[in-house]
Order: sequence, then C-alpha cells, then structure tokens
Amino acid sequence: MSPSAPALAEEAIVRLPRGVRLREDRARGGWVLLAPERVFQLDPVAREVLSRVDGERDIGAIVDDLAAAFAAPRERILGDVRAMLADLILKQVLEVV
Amino acid sequence: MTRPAPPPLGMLAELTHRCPLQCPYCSNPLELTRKRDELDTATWQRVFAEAAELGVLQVHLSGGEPAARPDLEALVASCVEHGLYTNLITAGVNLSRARLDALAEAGLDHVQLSIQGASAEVNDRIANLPGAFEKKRAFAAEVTDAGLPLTLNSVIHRHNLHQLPELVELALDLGAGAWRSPTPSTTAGRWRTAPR
Repeated sequence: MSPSAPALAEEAIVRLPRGVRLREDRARGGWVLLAPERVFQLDPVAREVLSRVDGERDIGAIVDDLAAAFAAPRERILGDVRAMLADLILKQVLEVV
Repeated sequence: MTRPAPPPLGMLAELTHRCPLQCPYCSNPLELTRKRDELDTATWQRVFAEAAELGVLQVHLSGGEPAARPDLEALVASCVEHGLYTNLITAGVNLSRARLDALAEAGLDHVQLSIQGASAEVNDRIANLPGAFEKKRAFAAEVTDAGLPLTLNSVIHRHNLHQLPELVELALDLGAGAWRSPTPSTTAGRWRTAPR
C-alpha cells in the first residue's frame, strides 16, 4: 500500500512542520529545504511557492499572489502549485494545518 | 584536471566517546578519547561557525552519547545561531524531560533515537544495560510530546534480524517519522587507532 497524493482544496492552508526549515544556501547559491536527514535543493519556482507558505495564507491566496507576480494564467499556476505541494506532503516535509 | 571537492552538506560531530551503552559493534575506537581531551565548548562553537561558513547545512550531534556533555544545550544554540540544522543522535537513556525541553527551546530540529532490539530482552542484552528499552520507549514518547520529529535507527545483525517486522512496528507505535538501519561500514566494530 503506497500513499497517494492528497487532493488539496484552494481553501487548504499548509505549513512547514517542526523539523523542516527553508533557508538560503549561500555557499552553493539558491535555497534549500532542510528536513530530518534530508536536504532538498529548490529550483527558483519551488522557492517562489515555498516562500509564500506561511501557515496562514490558503493555497488560493498563494496562487493569486503568484499569478499577479508572474503575469501567468491562474489555472495553470493552481495546477502546478497543487501538484508540488501534494508531493511535498507525501515526502513529509509539508503538512495541512 | 582536479577540481576542489564540493563543500559537505552535513557534518557528524562526535562530541564525546562516553556512552551508557556497550553495544559490541560500536564504531567508536577501542582507545577512546578521554573526557579531558574532548573539545571544549568554545572550540566546538568555533568549529560550527567555520562549518557553516564552509557550506555545511546540517549537523548531526553524536558520540558516544552526546547527552553526556553538560554543554549540549549551548552547542545546539550555537548551531542554530549559525543557521545549521541540528540532529541529535542519542541512545535516549540519560536525557531528562527538562533537558529535552531545553534542547527543543534552544532550537533542536530533529531527534534520532537508537534502538538495539524490539524487546527489552534483546535490546538490553545488546546494549548491555538493563532497563534501557523501557527508558527508550519513554524517551520517544517525550520527544513526540515535545513536538520534535523522531527517527529510529537500529543496527541489524544476526541477534536482532528476527525482530525486523517488530522494529518497524515499534517505530510506528512510537510515532517515528522513519526507521532506518545504518549499513555497517567496513570499519564497523571496535578498532584501534593506528600508532603514531
């Protein structure tokens, strides 16, 4: 039995659980997500999304913000953000509030 | 053409060789560094600052038993000050709740608890410490109660291989996010430091 990706509603609020931290990696450049025994090197898109995850804004608000900042179609951003966040939840580095 | 090695992501800090357990396969050397020869607080703090500067992102505080160091809280705080992710690798038999809370308060990110077997009989025989198993169980509950993520690790060998399913069960029971079995390296087992 392997877990499947959760369906995330636009109203869902996510946050980094205790033991997971987002920080800049000055030595190598870029940003990383630090988790128990793991380091995720983030691409610029992942960084833009995760830097907006604050445990208060819901996914819809994060997508609105990204759509405004990057002048891209909201529906497409919503799909990408949902897929990325669901994947991070499966990897135990993100949780639904 | 040789290129410089990339900076390490993680650093294993062996804070001490003192340990309440006596597992026969321990990778610590036979000739242990004595307490008086351990690096002092200020030296470790300098090492953590230099490691962070070099590009280290995660520090694994280990030993021996890192809780044998009375300055463990200060060392965690120093790592946090330099942005280092701190993982405490402990046997979980000599860390009080008050101390655990102080470590969490200092910014400890994660606890990795060693388990030698899935029952008191097997665990305590391998660790050569009666009562260790129950202490580990209680400690695991305190870690999750303190809100810290917990990982269990077990060295697997012929004396506990039959408990593999129970070890995974135990990890789930104790609320661990993961259970790992470190692969013994070729240097595992007691070894002597080469004469200088």
